[in-house]
Amino acid sequence: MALGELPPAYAALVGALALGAFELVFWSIELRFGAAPRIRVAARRLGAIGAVVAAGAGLGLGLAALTTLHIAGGLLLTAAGTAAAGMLLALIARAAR
Amino acid sequence: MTVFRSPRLFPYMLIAGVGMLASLVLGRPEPVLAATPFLLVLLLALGSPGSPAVHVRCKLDRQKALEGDELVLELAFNGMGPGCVVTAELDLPPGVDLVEPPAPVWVGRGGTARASARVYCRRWGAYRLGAALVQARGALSARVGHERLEPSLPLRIYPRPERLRSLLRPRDVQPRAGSVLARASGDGFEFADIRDFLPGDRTRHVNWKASAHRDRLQVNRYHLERSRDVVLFLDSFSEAARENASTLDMAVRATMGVTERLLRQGDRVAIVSFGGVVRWLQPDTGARQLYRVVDVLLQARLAFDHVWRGIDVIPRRLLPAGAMLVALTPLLDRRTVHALLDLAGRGHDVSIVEISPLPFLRPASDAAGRLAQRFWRMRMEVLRHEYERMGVAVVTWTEGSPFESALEEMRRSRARSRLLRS
Repeated sequence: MALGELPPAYAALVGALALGAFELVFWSIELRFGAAPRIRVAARRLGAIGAVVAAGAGLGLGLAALTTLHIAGGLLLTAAGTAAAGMLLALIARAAR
Repeated sequence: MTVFRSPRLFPYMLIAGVGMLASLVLGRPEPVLAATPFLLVLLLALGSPGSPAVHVRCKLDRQKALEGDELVLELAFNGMGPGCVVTAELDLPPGVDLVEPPAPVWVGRGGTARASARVYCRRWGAYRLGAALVQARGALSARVGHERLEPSLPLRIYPRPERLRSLLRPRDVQPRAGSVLARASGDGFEFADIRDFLPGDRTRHVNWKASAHRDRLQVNRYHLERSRDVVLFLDSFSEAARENASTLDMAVRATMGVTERLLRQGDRVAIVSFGGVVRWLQPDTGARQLYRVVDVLLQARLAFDHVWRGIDVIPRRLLPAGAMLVALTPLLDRRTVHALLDLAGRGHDVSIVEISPLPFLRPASDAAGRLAQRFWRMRMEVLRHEYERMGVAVVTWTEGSPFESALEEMRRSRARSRLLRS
């Protein structure tokens, strides 16, 4: 099965797992240059990573479910993507300021 | 607290942007769905209100410590913003080492938390602790608040004194009661000899057994017990040093040991730190003098300069008549060498503990280096001979050997130089 033939839900899950892997890598870099945290602090961070991965996967799966409905021939997806891009640009501008 | 955004947000932004763009270009939903979690993190990080901020207070469990002690540095955090994980990276002065860094702690909104670090007092000196880089990270570590703390906690690390059982006997004693046996006899405790009874002698000093034996009244005589004045001469012009040890460290520890011992016996101690900056302390006795001496020692630092300094910079009242001057020096600087020769030439009772710089020297790698070291050793031999000719006792104290053994050798050397003088 080619990558393009995977159901969109898999793409959402792959994205969420990639985010989890990124978060763990960045956290391990942070830990390398600082003191080891106590269990409660580490558990809190792990919990936050788990929560954001779960939320990301949920959001992706939700969007995937929407696209499978083929509402307005994919117009919804295009509109959501454009809105998200606009929002992102706004946020980048705010961050730069 | 200055707030920065986490550097990892930039790659996330890139992934999300590329995903959305690819989705729009290809007309397929998968890229944007894969990028959605990253987009979510960005939205949470950049859109969340408030920035992590904490107020930090530092406390040291003691302000005075001995070399080799371990101290606890406590950091108290007050949350001023949303909950965050706070880490502190301590910036310690060169004589203090970090044993255990402070662990990151969670500080809730308006809450408090404490973290403690253990530090090791490696080298004597007066320091200021508390310099640190404090970082407060939000739950996802998307925003990081930075604050640099200035050093504000004074810490005095006292040198660990060399252990001594006995001290040098001075050439002259002072007319004050003390613990040194004087050559003159009088009211004391230590038996000296027996002589015939003279009018005015106390009857309790009559030695009845000797009187019966000799058939005339005999009285016991006792040694007077007097105190001594000692001037400790610390050479801070130069030192031979390694990473964790130096001749100045050895001199300071020996000075501390001698001072403690002398003051405990009721003697008067003066100190001269002879170097780029000349510091001195007039002779005095008692516990307060020990603290004053410690103050001078803690300020004893090498200050390199090329200005010629002789003994004229030392106040005359610092060298009372009959005082014994003990110099602790590596004899590396000509100014110290000449000052000690001057003092001996003016009739002062000078003894030199030469702190050998040899263990601190790197072994010579080539023939020229070896030759230079041989010349230097020969020069030191000549210098020692010159001192001895002037009646100055010189002993060499090497790193690793107890100071007590150097003092024992000094006792013999002083007896020899007394003979040479006479």
